[in-house]
Amino acid sequence: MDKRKLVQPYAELAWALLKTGILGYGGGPSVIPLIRYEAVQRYRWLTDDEFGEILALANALPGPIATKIAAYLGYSQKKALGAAVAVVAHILPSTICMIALLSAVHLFSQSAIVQGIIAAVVPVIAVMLGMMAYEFAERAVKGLGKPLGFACFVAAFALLQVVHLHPALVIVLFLGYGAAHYRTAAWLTAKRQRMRRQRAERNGDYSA
Amino acid sequence: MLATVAPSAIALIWLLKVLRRYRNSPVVKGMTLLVQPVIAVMMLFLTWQMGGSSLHAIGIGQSIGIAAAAYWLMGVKKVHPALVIVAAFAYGGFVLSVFHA
Repeated sequence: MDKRKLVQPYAELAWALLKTGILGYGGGPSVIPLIRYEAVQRYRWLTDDEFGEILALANALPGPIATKIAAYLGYSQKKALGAAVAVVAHILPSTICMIALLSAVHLFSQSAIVQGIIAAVVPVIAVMLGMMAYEFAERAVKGLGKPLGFACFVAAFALLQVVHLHPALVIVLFLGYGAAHYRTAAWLTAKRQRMRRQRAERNGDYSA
Repeated sequence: MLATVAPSAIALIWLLKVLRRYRNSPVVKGMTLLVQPVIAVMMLFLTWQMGGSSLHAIGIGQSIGIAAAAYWLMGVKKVHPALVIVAAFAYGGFVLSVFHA
């Protein structure tokens, strides 16, 4: 009926992911903060927690991460057609660039201007990733409490950087414990309460 | 390109569908919560890598200057990240290309 309403969701998807495709220099992970901004803050397709889940699972599955997230966002808004629109919009700019510049690759990589542009974007991407790291860390500490939160950071750091476990495996490990986390926490609280009650009873006996 | 992404994308869509269905179960809630610290640490590594390659390319002064400006714009002034990147493009094209060629 209303043509604009019909087209608008696709246009939004295409525009959001086109922007991330054009501006996400560095490919892969460096696009994540941009996609997050569009999906969570700008268009409110999902919450930050949901974005975290998507990120974790996308990270654990093979293939370029940004393209998978683009496909999921498209699907969650408009099923299969939405997924197709989102993926095409996301990879189109870089594809066109590749084809257009393939013949001029040598010239391109020699150009001081292009090198300057690329070099200037790297620190910006670093800041974006850093801000995102802080926000995820903040949410982890809020949900897990300080001791367990920091224990998780240390464990994740050690598994990734010292043991050199595959990131997908680390995510699966944490998901595994996560599945049992609330039950474990409830069990621990119950145990602590039982002990406190017993101690109170004993003290009560002495004073009586 | 599409062929390589399709199986993973479908798996992702399916897994998230299952998660959404059990949205309110403590099992799924715990999984969502425990994933946050891992992502935080992974993002930290990426930040570190990006920082390192920036230091290598344009040195500490430019790197910290650009990073501070980017943080001020995005974190304090809440400017759209896309605009900040465009600004960095301009700075890199006009300034860095002259001084760091």
